[in-house]
Amino acid sequence: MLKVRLVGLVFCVAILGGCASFEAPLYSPDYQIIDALKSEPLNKLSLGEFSPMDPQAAVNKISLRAAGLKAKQGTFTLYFKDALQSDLVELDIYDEASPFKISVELLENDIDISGLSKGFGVMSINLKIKQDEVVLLNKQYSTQIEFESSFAAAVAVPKAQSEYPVLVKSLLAKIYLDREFIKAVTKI
Amino acid sequence: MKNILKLFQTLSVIFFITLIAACSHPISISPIDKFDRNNPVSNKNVAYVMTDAQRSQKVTTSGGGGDKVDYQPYRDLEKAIRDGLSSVYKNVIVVSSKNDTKAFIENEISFVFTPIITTTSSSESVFTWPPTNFDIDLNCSVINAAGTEITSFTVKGSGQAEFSEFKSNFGLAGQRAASDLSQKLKERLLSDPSLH
Repeated sequence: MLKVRLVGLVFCVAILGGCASFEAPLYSPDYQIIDALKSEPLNKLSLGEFSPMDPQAAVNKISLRAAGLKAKQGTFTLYFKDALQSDLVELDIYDEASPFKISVELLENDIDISGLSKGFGVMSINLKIKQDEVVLLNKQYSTQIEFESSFAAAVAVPKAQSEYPVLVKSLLAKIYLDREFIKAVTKI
Repeated sequence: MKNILKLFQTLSVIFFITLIAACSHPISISPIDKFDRNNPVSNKNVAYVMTDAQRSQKVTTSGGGGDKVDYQPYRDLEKAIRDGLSSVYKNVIVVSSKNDTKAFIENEISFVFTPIITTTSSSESVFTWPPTNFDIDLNCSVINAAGTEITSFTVKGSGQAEFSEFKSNFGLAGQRAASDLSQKLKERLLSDPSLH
């Protein structure tokens, strides 16, 4: 049994070593907030420019100790775009042809598990809503999350991986609860 | 001196083994794929019951090599349940109580689903901790907006993953089970005329 455990330990060290890369799980929204928005008379919305698209941009790279976190979409900017689009579909207000266009610049995006017992996530964006050329909203949103972490990388890294969708959910929930956002997307 | 050094080495190994062995490894079991929710077949609106206490509930089940995995089944599987319901019904909302008659009236709710989730996991590997097999049992009791029981049923989602696949995603077997659960829920709803 001792040998088995040692092999397991070697596996953990190897898999959590420098070459390992982990994928962020699929985003899942705060459905209570989404459902509350359904009662508002919202305009159909489309998605405009999302940046930065460069996979090498700082906000598109997250390091979990020696391992890396990646998005299935290729960049975290696209992960966020996908998340927002799926929420608009859930709300039944997504329309590619709508003149009401949401654009987003990702400003901060990080998961920090350098601590021994606590992990942190931070995300901030600049969100712009335009109707044709008229700017209806131009505002920064940010959020922070805190979660239990561990000295052991075999615990801390998968925990951080599972918290990434929670970070995105937290930021999008803040946006959906913001009266200025609701006003900008509501039918006049 | 040699004996003391040997004792120190043994204690160090035991310390690290205990450290790893005592750990329960966190995973996510949210669905792996986006679910096709286009063209719902029913014009009815439905609600499902889920509370914040359920979403924060943590469950521990078996992994490989004698280790455990932990996750939050209601938080992670809410999307899978929602996807299954939304692929059949026109509108789906969440409520925190099956007695929320105000929400049922405002949203013209026809059916209220109360899901109970049970999970099991295992691994054939003695060397690696991520589960290679994952099963999710979803038991749903269904009432109408007046509170009368319509039916109850259980659907099972299953997922498997091998070492070569889960290197970048330790919860892969569970995530596949979650996607399978959405499909099984959809099939169960479509097969039951009392829920149309």
